[in-house]
Amino acid sequence: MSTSSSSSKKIVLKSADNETFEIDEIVALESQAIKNMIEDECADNVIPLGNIDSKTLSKIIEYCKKHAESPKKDDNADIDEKAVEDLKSFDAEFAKVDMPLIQDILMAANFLNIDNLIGLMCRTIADRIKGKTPEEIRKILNINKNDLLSPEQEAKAREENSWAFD
Amino acid sequence: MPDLPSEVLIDILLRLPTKSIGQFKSVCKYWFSLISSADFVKLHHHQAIIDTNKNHSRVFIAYAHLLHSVNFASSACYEGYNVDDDTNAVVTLNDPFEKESVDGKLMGSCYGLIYHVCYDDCILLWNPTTQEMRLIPDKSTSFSDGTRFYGLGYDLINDEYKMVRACHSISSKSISSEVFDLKSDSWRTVQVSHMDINSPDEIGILSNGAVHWLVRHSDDSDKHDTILSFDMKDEIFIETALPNVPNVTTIELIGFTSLGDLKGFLYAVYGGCEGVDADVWVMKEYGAVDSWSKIIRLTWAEFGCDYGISPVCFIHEDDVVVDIDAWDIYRYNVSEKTMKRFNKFTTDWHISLLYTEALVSPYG
Repeated sequence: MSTSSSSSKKIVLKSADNETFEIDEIVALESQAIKNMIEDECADNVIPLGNIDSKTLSKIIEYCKKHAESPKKDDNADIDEKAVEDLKSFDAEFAKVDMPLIQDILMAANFLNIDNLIGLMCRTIADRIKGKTPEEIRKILNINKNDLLSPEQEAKAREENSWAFD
Repeated sequence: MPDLPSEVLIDILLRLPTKSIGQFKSVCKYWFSLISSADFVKLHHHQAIIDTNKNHSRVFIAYAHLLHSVNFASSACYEGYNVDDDTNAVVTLNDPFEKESVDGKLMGSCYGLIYHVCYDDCILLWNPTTQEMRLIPDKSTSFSDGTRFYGLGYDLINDEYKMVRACHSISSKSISSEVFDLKSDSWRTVQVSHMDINSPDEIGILSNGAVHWLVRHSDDSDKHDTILSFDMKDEIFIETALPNVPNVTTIELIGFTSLGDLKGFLYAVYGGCEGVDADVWVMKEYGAVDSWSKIIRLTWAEFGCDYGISPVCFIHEDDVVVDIDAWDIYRYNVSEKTMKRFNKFTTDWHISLLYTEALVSPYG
C-alpha cells in the first residue's frame, strides 16, 4: 500500500448490502478478526463483510470508534474515573435498541470477535429475559415454531424441572 | 433469525439465575439440548463455585424438618426491608426425608450438594436447587471400631464429587478410610493414615480442595487442638496446626469451636461460648501455619448474647452473618458497625450449611 497523506491509516469495510465505510485502522483493530487479517497481511484495501448489513455495521463502527478513542484500562493504572463512567453510560445508551438489532449486533460482534461488545450484548439479552417465562422468551427472541419441543417433550421438561417453576 | 452460536448462548445463560436456566429448558429444542448437556452443567458449576459474588452462594437452614434456603446477601431477608423485592431471598425447601422415608443424624455440604448420614445405614445425598436426590449405601465397612466420620468434597482437577467415610482406631493409632465416587456405585478402600487423632464431632468444611475437621489429639483433651483434613485429589489425611493463641485461663477451656471457608480461605473460630468473644482467624496462605491471622472479633456485648455466637457465612471480608444463641441471625458489617436482623424464622435451635446453587447431579 502507498503511504497515505493523512495522519492515520484507513480501512474500508463493505457491508452485505454493498455500502462502504472508511474508518481509521485503530478503530478496525477493536475487532480481533480484522486485526488478525491485517497482521497476516491478508486484508485488501476493502474488507467485504458479506454477512453484516449496513445498519448493523454502522452500529458496530459507532461502538468501536468510541472504545478506540477511550483510554484502555491497561494503559495506566490511574485512568481517570470520568472516562470509565463516560464509557459506561455510552454502553448503556448503545444497548437501548430493539431485540432483532441486538441479536444482529451480537452475531456480527461474534463474527468480528469484538470481546467487549459480545459481553455487552449478552448482558443486555440476559437482563431482558431474566425472570420471564419460556413463552415470553420465545416471543422476545422470535423463536421459530418449528424449533419448539413437542407438547409431550415440553410437559416432560417442565415436570423434570418443576423446581424451577415454583 | 438464525440460532445464536452455542458459545454465545452459553455466555447469556450463565448470567442468569439458576432457576431461570431450569425454566428455559422448555424454550425450544436447541435450548433444551444445550442446557441438558454435561458440558453446560459443568460450566455452570464451575462458574458458580469460582464466582462467589453472583448470588450462587446460599445457606441451608434446618430446624427439625423445616428446611429453608437463604441468600443472606439479599436485603430482602432482613427486618425493615421489603420481602417482595426478592422472592428468592428466602425459599422453603421440600423435605427430602419425606420422599425417601429415612431420617438423618449428621450432615454436611459441598458446593451444589448436601448430604445427611441417616439412621438407616444409608446416606441421603441431594441437590437442594434441583431437588434431585440419591441414597448411598452406608452399611458395611472394612473398618469397625470407633466413631465413623464423613466428608463430602469436590476434586476440581478431575471435576468429581466424592464422599469419604473414615474412622480412627485407638488400637492401631491410625485412620482407616473409604471413598465413594459419585460416578461409581461402591466404596473403595484408601490407604491407612498413621495418625493418632480422634474422630471429629464437627461438620467437615471444604476449603482448598480438602475437607477439614476440628479434632482432638487425645481422649482426655477437652478442646479441639488441631485440624484434620482429607485432600480430595490425593486422597490422604493431613494435619494442620491451629493458630497459636496465648493461654488465657478461661479461654483455655474452650479453644476453637468451628471452621469455615471465606472466599477460598480456611478460617477457624476461637471462643464464642461461655462468655468468651469469638475471634475469627484466617489462614492467608493455605498450608502455611505461620500465616494464620486474626481478622475479626465478635463480642458478646455487641450482640446481647446469652449462650453462643458463631459466624454462619461471610458476604465480604468485613460483612459477616452471625448466629446468636442458635436463635437469632444477624448480618453484621464490621467496618460500619451496622447490624441487620434476619427476618424469617427465629424460633428454634437450627443448623446451617453453606451451599452453591448449581445444576449438578448427585449421580456425578
